[in-house]
Amino acid sequence: MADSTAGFSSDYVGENKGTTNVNATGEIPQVADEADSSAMTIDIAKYGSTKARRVVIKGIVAQ
Amino acid sequence: MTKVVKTRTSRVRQGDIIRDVEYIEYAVEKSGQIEIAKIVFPLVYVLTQDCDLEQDYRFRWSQETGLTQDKWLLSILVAPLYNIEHVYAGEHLSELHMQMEPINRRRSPGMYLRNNERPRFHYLEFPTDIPIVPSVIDFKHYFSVNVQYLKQLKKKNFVCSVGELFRENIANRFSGYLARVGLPEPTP
Repeated sequence: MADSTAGFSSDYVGENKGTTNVNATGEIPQVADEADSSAMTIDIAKYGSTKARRVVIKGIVAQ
Repeated sequence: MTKVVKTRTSRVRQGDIIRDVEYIEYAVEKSGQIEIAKIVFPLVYVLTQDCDLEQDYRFRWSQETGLTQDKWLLSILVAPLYNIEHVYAGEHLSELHMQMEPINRRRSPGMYLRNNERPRFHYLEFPTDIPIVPSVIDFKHYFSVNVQYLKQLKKKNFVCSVGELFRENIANRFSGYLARVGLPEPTP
């Protein structure tokens, strides 16, 4: 079984909408991906905030 | 109108409102692939008792380390704050593909909600200099977050802290909600 505490690989590309992948340096991007953009269409002036959103991160466990 | 404190303190306090808090739904590892799902809540309210938070901070971060870690918390209890306009429409969790029960703002259900007569919710209005629209805390959606994560996040995502008495009122209503007893329906 792979060591789940090991670092991420950077070569995995998620297929599902809403996934966020680790970047080339193995860091998890903090900026919302394209699936989060729908939340940004809310009228901030009217609603004051966006809604709760789900983010899925996928990666490969380093062997 | 809710009384709030705008001064940020380094430790997490009961009544703090913090922006963009992540809740880890799951983290699974299978065949060398790992998948982590999290929900990002735009605003959460800190429910954990302040004396527990104060002791955790004192014994974890200060020089007053002591001989044990008896006072350290494992997590901090929070509940999401939802925009009241979204709640009326039942669409506050639409990004999670969850349809909630609409609440008619102009009739009794909306009035009960704003008067804090529904045990599940706590309605809050903020001063004009606080960038939060009228919102409700949903006690049913409470969850826990890592202590160190929340302390670190508070540095840049702190919005305000609900003042004393108001936060005690919320704690009282939350504890009452958790302690409710669901009785079985009478059989015909």
